[in-house]
Amino acid sequence: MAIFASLCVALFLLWGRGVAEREVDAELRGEVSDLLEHHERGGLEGLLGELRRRRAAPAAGRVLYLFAESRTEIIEGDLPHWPEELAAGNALEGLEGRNLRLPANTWSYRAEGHFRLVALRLGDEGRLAVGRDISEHARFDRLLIWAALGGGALAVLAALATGLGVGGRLLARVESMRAVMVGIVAGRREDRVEVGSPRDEFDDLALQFNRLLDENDRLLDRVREVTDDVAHDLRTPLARMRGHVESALVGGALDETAARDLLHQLLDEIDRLLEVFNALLRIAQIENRVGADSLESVDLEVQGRDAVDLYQPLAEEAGFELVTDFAEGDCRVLGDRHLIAQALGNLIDNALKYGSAPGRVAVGACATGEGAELWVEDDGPGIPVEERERALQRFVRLDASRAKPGTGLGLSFVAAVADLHAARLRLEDASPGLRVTLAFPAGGPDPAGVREASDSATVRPTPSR
Amino acid sequence: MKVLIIEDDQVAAGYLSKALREAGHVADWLEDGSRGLQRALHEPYDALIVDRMLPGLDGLSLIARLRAEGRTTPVLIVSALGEVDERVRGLRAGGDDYLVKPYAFAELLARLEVLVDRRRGTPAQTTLKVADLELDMLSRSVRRAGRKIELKPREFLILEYLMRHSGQVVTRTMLLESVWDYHFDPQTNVIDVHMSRLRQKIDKGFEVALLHTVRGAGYALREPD
Repeated sequence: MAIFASLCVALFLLWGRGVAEREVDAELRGEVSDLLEHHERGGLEGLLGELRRRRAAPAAGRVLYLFAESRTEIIEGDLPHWPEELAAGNALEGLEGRNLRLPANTWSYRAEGHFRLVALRLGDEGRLAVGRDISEHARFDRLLIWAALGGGALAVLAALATGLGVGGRLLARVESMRAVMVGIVAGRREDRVEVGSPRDEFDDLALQFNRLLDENDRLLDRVREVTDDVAHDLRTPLARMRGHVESALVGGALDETAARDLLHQLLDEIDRLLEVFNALLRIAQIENRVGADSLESVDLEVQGRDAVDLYQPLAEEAGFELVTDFAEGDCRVLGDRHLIAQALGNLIDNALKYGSAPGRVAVGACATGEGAELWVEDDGPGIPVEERERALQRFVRLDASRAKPGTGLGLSFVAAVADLHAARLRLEDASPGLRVTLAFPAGGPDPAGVREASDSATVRPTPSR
Repeated sequence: MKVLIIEDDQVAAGYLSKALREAGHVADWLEDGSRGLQRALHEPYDALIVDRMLPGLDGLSLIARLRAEGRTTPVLIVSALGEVDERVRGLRAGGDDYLVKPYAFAELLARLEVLVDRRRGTPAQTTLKVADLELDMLSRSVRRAGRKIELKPREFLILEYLMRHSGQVVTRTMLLESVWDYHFDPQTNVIDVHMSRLRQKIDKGFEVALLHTVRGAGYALREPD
């Protein structure tokens, strides 16, 4: 910084000096040109006369004149002899001056002088030089140089001081973040970086850092929950299998029927395990899919009718009236037909499982301004508002549904399918009952999918499967 | 039938060969993809069971090469990759059916029999007949012993599928796939309810039942012995 500032001052100085010198040179060339006129009119005598006249004028001392005759080297002017370093040019045009320092007592005045001189050769008659006092310029230069040096030094000092101060503050903040990280690694998961006010870039960083930690926490909690739930849901069938085998071993010799029964029981439990396992895997696969890659135009009404067709007999057996309610209009969406069909199957299955029989379950679809919706509605007990978000989570089986068979994965599957399609999954009050809606965006999935539990009312407890 | 199993899991292949033999079939087993291809090219088999992930040559390339050589032997792909996309990939490579591991042997056997039967070629028929049950695809009508039976459209499709594969076991997933084009298992007994309704319509009031439940596997529509 400081070095840069000094450099700037130096450059400015050089540039300013160049400008001043060019001005002085122009002025000096004007003087020379005047004198040349006298020379033309009155010859050498005329010139010398003019020189003497000028040197006697009151402005003398500010301007210096010198004439050296070629043959005699006789000098007329303010200097005792022609300065060695002063070369005379042959033409007035483009004549450039030269700075000379004249020690005290070496010229007409006693004090030291700083002059800029131009010199012109007058044919073989001699050389004429005119100079102008530039001691003010020189003083100014010195001032500037000192200012630059001093300023530079000051700037360096200031920069160092600021650097140390700011750097110290930055270091302190980085250090505080580091400390938080160390704490978190050491198990203090609740630690957060302090966010100051008003906010600067560091506070923004701290804020994002804290958000990252919050998200991390949330995921950790979810993993813990899921682990507990998986443990529960997988342990139950395993425990039963173990029980079957153990009691068979304790019971002594098995006859063939008993052995076959045992094997069938085991097979059933294995199938249950596989069911949970497959459901989990399928959700994970969908969640990890970058985008729906097998998209096609899916008519929600056709999907709805097919599903109703499949579930109709089952619904009737269970005491439900399964009806369709399709609105006029185009309810086609861009999506994965198989996944939508399975999600719909899960929703109908849930409605049959958790609605109250005898009852009514309706499947419908309609085009909306923003796309198309597919919904399943029952007239059962519904899900309280506060439990809705939880109902979408994996393995969550709201207490009301613990007794019913199911993996607790049905709605999470639907939620995953919704995410993949950038569709919104809404759980709403159907007064009475639950209405689950998949709202697909027009034009198919875009990367920003959202899922929400609406505030309006009830939600289905546990999904199954 | 004579089946070639190309599968690198020895235990799985062992069970499979044993079960196939017990079901009255001949089963050969090879572990390696390229050796499997050579064998399939030089020996006649009624069907191949091919694992997707194989040493030597992967399952899909094996099938593609087999098809490129002009062999139409039915291929049942078995794989631990269960996504619908994977299934589509398998069928596109030239497989005839796709089964996700772990599978029930009954499911595999039922599918294998349907594949082999399909290949033997049932000529394009407009009427199907099993015992005294007749199905006319043009008029979409069903009669048993001359008596007209009213079926819903979906029931008609189920019956048509059963009759096309009469004498064979048809599993629930096969019905879901062929009648609804659903490639997932709804887990509930949706299909069973459909079947009991169909049974009500075609068997009730007749002396001999044609539609049978095959325990642990599915259903079969059979001529009475």
